[in-house]
Amino acid sequence: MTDGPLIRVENLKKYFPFKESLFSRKVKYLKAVDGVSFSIKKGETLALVGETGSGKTTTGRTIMRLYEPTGGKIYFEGKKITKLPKKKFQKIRMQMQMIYQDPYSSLNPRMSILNIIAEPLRQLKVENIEDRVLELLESVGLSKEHMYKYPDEISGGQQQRVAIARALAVNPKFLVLDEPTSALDVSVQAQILNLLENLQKDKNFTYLFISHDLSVVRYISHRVAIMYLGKVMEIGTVEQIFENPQHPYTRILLESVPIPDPKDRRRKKLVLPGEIPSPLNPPSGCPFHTRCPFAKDMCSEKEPDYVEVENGHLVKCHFVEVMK
Amino acid sequence: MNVLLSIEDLHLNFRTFWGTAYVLDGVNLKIYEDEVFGLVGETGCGKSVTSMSILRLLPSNAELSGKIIFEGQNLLELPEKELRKIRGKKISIVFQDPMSSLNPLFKIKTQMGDIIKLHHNIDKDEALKKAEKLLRAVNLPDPHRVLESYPHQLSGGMRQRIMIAMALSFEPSLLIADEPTTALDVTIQKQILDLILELKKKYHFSVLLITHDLGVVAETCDRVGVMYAGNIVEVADANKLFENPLHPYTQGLLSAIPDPRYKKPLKPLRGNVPSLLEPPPGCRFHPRCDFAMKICSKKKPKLVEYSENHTVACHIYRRGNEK
Repeated sequence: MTDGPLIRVENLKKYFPFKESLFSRKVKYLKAVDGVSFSIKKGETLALVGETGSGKTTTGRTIMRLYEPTGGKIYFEGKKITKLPKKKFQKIRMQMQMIYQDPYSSLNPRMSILNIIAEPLRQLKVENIEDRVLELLESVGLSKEHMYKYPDEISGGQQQRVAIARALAVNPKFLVLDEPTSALDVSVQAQILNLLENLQKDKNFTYLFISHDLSVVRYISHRVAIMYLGKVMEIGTVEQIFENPQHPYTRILLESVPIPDPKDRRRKKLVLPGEIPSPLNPPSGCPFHTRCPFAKDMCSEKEPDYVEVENGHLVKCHFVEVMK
Repeated sequence: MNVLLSIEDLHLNFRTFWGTAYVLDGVNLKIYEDEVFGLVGETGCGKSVTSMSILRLLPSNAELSGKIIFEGQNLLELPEKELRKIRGKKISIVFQDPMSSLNPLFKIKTQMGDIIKLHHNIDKDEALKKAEKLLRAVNLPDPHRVLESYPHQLSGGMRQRIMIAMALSFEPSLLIADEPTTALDVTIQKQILDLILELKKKYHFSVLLITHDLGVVAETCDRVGVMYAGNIVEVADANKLFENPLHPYTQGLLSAIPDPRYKKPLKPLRGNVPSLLEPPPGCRFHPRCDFAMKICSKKKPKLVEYSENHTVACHIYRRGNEK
């Protein structure tokens, strides 16, 4: 195996068609993901951050090909998977698993935990299924007593552990985690975050971590991509993004995060005016110009290109001064 | 400072199919005039139910005992007719999900106008004028268009502003905000919290802010109460609580939350929240507590004053100053 990235996404696009009214002939497109590029190394966590409607979940699902991409390329271990026929893709698809936000609705309420986790194993014709299920349960911090229970008999945190165990059953390399702790209480959230981190250390998993919670992102990720209206506005290492944010949107987003320390209150904070525009009718030029406190005329006319401010730290803004 | 609302030894049980759930186990709480009091805790700790008890908005299987004193009257003994003069007028509430608080079938002007008309005894035109003024007060641009809209045509942040405008239409002395920003994005959350603080400064009401987010508490509250399984375990000035948390549960919560400023190791609390059908005897936290002693499973600790404006319910701090 080469040292190349495990996952590479190039100019990924996902447009959803819609009609302005029931009878209109003209089909317009909602550009949920519009030219997203990034790569994730083996054993690395990339966080996709953004507000509601920024396209972060759609990006995750398009990479899994749950949605067929409208344009762009996806590479897994250097192999292009975007145009791969279904049968061939299935083998690769198994190495990519997804964990969802609401653990309860992602588990079949009529199946016992044993059957939930055994289902993929039976497909793979694994022998000694019960032993393997127990092994998986133990790897996520559950025990034999949970094996014969049903999803509604265990707590939300335990449900999420079961969902993780099921994803691990097929020995994946890459996991898309779509807000895996948003539905959980803070003390349980800490358990799940620690579990995910330990699993990564043990098995060298690669994560795409989708979240709107910047405190969690700071904790779990190595690199961060900030999304706004289907585009990545800034991408860099977690230190680059949190300690040296360059894009006005990133800066305002970080300042909006409540900090669990009352002494921090005195700091003067930027407040973002208005709300995220409708992706049905996105602004021209830089998508952020309608809310940006530093916007100039040119921002509404021309979409900015990426500027590399530091090694691997890309910013999509006209007015980033290159620090050299 | 004067006490605005005082909750004394509030017990609440729900009779359910599976038995009685002991939801509130002797809650004591004081809210002063012109302050923001934060009530924090995890799912099922009883924070929302406490606020519902204040307004007596509980289902019929609820058994409530204790006292809730507001302006010299015990709200729990007040006849329904008298309570109506307080509910929504002197004490208003803003809920978490602004979509389900608004009727999707009616325009904002109908919903706001009706309420204002009813309570203020004025005609429709005047009511609409007042509604417009209120929408301006919550910084909604173009109030005219907002009044002509249906709830689904507005964003979550705008709907929450409307709920706040409606809550403020009678100049309440207490605004209960039950997770007002949980359904919103962080940038919008910041706007709404700033708005509540700005309005509070202008109209001098008190706020009871119910939340699970310790960051939100740190940013907005003057005093904080921490709840666990139907008990208030610690009450303190916000600064003191974050600087010197006393109760093992508060300490556990604070070390379980990630900090956006830097990466620190997370220490999750062990175990799970107990079932309220069979709560643990003594201190309800003792099965999960690292410092549990023999007495903890036998006797329920009382809230005692540890230092000025800092009370805690834990046997560790019993020495000397128990009242």
